[in-house]
Amino acid sequence: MIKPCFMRLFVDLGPCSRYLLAMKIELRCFATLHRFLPENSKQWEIPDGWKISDIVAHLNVPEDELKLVFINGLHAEIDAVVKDGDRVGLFPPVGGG
Amino acid sequence: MSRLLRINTRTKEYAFEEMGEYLGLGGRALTSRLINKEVPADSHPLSAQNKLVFAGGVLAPTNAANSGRVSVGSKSPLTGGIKESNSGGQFAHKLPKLGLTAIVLEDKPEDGAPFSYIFISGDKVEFKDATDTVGMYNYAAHEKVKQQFGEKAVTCMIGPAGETCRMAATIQFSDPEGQPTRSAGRGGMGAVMGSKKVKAIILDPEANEKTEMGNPEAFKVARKKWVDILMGHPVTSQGLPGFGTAILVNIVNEAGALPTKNFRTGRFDKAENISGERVAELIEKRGGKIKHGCHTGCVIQCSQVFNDKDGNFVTTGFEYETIWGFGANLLIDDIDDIALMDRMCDEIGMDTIEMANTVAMAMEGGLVKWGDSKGVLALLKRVGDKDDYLGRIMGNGCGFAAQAFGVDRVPVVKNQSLPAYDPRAVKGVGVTYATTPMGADHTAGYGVCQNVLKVGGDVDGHGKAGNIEISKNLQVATAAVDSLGLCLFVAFAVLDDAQGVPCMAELVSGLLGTEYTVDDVVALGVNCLKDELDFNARAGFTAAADQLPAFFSNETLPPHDVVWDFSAEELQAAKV
Repeated sequence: MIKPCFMRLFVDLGPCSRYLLAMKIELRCFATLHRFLPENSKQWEIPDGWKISDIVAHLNVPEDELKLVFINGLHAEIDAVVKDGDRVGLFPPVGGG
Repeated sequence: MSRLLRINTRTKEYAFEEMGEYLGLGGRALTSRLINKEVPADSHPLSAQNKLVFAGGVLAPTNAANSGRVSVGSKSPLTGGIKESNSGGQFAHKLPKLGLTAIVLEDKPEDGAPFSYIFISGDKVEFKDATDTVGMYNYAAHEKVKQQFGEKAVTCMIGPAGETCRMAATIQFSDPEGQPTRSAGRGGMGAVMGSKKVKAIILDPEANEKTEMGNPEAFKVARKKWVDILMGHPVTSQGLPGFGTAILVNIVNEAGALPTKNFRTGRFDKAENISGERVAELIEKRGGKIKHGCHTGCVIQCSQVFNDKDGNFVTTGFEYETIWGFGANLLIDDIDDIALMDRMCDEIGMDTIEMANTVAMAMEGGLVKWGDSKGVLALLKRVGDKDDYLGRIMGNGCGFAAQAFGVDRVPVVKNQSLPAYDPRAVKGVGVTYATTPMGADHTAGYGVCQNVLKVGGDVDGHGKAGNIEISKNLQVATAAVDSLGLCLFVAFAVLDDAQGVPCMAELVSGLLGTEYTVDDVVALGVNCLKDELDFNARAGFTAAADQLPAFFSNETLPPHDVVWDFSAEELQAAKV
């Protein structure tokens, strides 16, 4: 019974599978990035120590589609480390008035 | 041909004149120069001394992409200072077909005079009685105008708010579908038109004078390059057409800068329900339109057509500021009721930003409950009824209503109310609110680009550093864009592309047949601002007017606990 779960872990997390699922974040993907939103995004479990770049890679968001990263409402760079309980928002290039 | 048409609204005389000292100017540069020169700065805005100027931009005679914006200029009844109110619609591109660069309404009729339509063709001006549409909502009134003057009539019109000289009154311009949906919104231009008893201006649909490009080959090259620039940037080619301006609801909310409950916090917990994503989803489901241009020749197509749950048309030009103002600012999250509010404002002819802030004053004053969207609709409906005193109060905007209701939390600068970005968290646009001659105005110097969107740079919106510089530069750039007649959204592409401003200059060179440089483009903007600052100084504005209300300095804004900390003295550096 355990083995299938383990297989899923390997499939889901790839090379990160050796880390424990240690953090929960609130993830929002806006506009055209909405299609990348994972299940349970408001309480999304990810490995401890993940950066924004790990999230982006895991979700397969193409680099040129991501323009703005917010962590807890502040601009962040793609190599920012995410902490437990963080609110993360991802946007493509957008404008308005 | 490039002529100035002066119309006396009292004698009904008119004159087609050479441009004279206004030659080479267009759009906002023209309206601000003329108002500064010809309107005594101490005039009462509703008096015979005030003038109302309609001008296409320098590029209006061309088919350059996004070159059809119109500028309306006057002394504002709302701010008491100079005003340029900018709109989409078909008007600006039609003016050159009549051989016109601008129309100036002067003087005013005797008290009790009836309202008129003014019909303009290439060689004459006719006044026609407009009594049959006075008091009507704009959509129905416009149908009657089209029956009288032709289905293809290109128009601008005031609704009941303008007829009763309300300070929040708009002038509505006809769109490519022939509906009165595009607004010259801010500053009460509709009240000035109403004071002169002009119900609508109709441009002869048959007029079709061609403008020869001074250097057709050079123009053609620049025109193609310009389209490539606009289509080459993801904001103008995908972001805006895909989701419209309402996409900003979620971003500004995420950044903690979405003014909620009359500028108390920067986050609205129901932002998702009124977001651009939600609006786009509903449009798809209900058969509206997602890509929609406000004028012929627009390639950005950021506007939309929004239907109700039964698939019936509700409104168009349903934009971020409106959704924020009637939404987060009032704790309303019913997007369908907000769409009805947008429609009501177009029908009565009132500025959605100003009315949203005015309703906030009514909520602060206890006239209607926070979040009560049906109560808001009932309140908005009362504007334009000349016998309804509460409607008269509401139609006069945020500052006036606040005084009527005894409210002390009044988000205005120079008596014009703040738009959809809290200045404490977006200081780049906060500097603009405080220092632009227009009053609290976001488009005049849209620091949101650098503070939130990372377009044209990346400057922290929570701190002071760099924000005076970006606001000043944006104010100059915007005045130039407004004078060329280009849609301001071209800035999203141009700010990130070193070819952008040179290409704008090349378009003008192609039109004129003589060299027009980047310095000339910049000078257009700088001189426009100088005219505006000069008028306002003579109208009695001092540095003290270049500041936000005290509560922005006294109260921190959650979630980032930021505060406004610029002094009026420091802010003077943002002015040219």
